[in-house]
Amino acid sequence: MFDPHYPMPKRIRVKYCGGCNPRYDRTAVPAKLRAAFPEAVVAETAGDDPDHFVAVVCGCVVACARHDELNGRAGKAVMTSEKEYERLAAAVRASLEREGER
Amino acid sequence: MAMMTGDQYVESIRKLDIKIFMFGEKVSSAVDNPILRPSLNSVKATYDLALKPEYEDLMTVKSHITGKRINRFCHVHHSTDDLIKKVKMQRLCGQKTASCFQRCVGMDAFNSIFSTTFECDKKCGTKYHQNFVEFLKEAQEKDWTVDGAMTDPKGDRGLSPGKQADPDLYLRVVERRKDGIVVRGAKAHQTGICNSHQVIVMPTIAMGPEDKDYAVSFAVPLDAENLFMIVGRQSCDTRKLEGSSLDVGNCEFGGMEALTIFDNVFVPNDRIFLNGETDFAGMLVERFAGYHRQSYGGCKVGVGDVLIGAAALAADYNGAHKASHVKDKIIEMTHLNETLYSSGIACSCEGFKTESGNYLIDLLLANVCKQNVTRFPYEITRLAEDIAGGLMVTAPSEKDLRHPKLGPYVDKYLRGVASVSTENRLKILRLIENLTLGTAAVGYRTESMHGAGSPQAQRIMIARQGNIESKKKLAKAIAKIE
Ligand SMILES: Cc1cc2nc3c(=O)[nH]c(=O)nc-3n(C[C@H](O)[C@H](O)[C@H](O)COP(=O)(O)OP(=O)(O)OC[C@H]3O[C@@H](n4cnc5c(N)ncnc54)[C@H](O)[C@@H]3O)c2cc1C
Ligand code: SF4
Repeated sequence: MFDPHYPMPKRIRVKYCGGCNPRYDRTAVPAKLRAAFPEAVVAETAGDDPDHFVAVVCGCVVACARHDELNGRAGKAVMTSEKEYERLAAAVRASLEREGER
Repeated sequence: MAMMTGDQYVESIRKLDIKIFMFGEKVSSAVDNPILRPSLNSVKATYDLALKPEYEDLMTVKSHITGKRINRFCHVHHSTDDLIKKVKMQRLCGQKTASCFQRCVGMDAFNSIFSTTFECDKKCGTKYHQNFVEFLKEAQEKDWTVDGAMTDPKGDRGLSPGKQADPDLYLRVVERRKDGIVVRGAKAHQTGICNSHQVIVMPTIAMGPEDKDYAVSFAVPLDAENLFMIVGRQSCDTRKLEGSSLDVGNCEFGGMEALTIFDNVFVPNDRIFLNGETDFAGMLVERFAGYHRQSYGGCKVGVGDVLIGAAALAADYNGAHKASHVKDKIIEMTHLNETLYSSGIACSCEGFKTESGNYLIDLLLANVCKQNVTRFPYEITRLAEDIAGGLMVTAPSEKDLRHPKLGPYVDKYLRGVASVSTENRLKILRLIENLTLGTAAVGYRTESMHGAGSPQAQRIMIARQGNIESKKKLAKAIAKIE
């Protein structure tokens, strides 16, 4: 049963595009997120628990990942190039801090 | 089970009693034969990739029949987005295997039969669409690899099926029974057939009423009685028997084709998708060819990506990468490759809904795509050979490289830049050889020419779809001709 004193770690769901011609290594993104947010669970597949945040990791600007049905409770962000990682991480950080204040 | 792992796929093929002949002998199984195994590995990759989260968006999709997640190779496209993702999936599979991964022919057969049977039933009161949907449901549920068999041997190209000296040169119905039909004939050049679960047969050309027995489409399992294959030779194929991974260029993946013989094969009623309705033979051929011409705008591009990468590495290893003409040749290869991709994507974006609800590509653009495919891979290979240098065809064998006495000489004299080992240089050159004139050239070159129809077949379609009268009107309007 859910114990409010030991809250479940928040789930950061990584959703990839299909990867037909990615311009950077998309699979490095979850590893970086795991290192940056050890308090959260970074998952690359759908799970039973609700997603706290959805990180859509696209290999290029076409950004064709299908994510319309995927929504994190605290939001969603899409990245299409390696240099957008910092922006994505900032959005994840803000969402975790926001939750913490509640 | 709606999706198999690669290993489950391999075991499922091992279980089938497929009758394969090669070099005059029966092969016990495609799974353990060193010449056929790379072909099986390419198909295996389509299963393995589908289970990786980073590729699921391209490799998997929700079935419109069951709502379950399935491999996209078993899908019937229901939007232009589906058509686009098909091409992207094929580019991805080409990149990962650098060869023909074979599963597209079945997927293209699914899509063309789905819409053609619907329209045939509507006009003729037949029940083929239901038969086909039941078959498709099973294919999706069991995650089958299905061979798409269209090309008949065709004998004298100047004669129609019924006028051939030997009536079996086009596959035909030889007996109609209460419970099904018996067919006889052959299908040539069958891609991936030795490692498929089922084969779907389709007619090869549009037909007139006199060719009723030839207007036939159906599915049978690969281990059906009286069905057997004779494997086609590929240049350098027996290198795979030598146990050298360097000399074959691509030691894991490959493609294969076989002459497939239906020597009085029984087809039960519920697996028949066309049986004498000659009006619909042409529709089926045109749609299958259209989808398959789109396919090449993905798969050949993915293989091209690997070849361009290999040529760029060969230049790096040679120390020629800074030369302006080499840089320009890589740009040209990329330009040609992306032009192929553009028409694959364009014909998908312009796709439209058929009466059955599935989506068909824009046929004019799909034919333009394939017409480009009959040319550009040849120019890309020419440029790759230019950049690679002559060593791609004159390098000694791996055995010589490993030889205690000869090896040091090979290593010393065949090195390019000092920072790269001779072995790595030879590996890249062998990969280029494999793609341009070895076993993989079957898929990258000659299949680009003839697969999904020879160049003239596309020109006929382009002429038909080109809307020339409207273009004349445009010119008249500008030139003020009344
Ligand atoms: C590697 C490879 C894989 C393939 N995979 C498959 C597969 O999986 N399934 C499948 O069904 N098919 C497959 N094909 C077959 C492919 O569709 C045929 O090769 C193609 O349709 C051409 O037929 P053909 O090889 O008999 O050549 P031909 O028909 O003999 O053509 C040779 C030349 O003759 C010309 N020609 C032929 N007939 C006429 C005519 N009536 N009038 C004028 N000119 C004519 C052609 O335009 C061409 O220039 C594959 C082919 C290759 C090479
Ligand atoms: S040639 Fe291309 S489209 Fe055809 S089966 Fe092979 S990979 Fe697929």
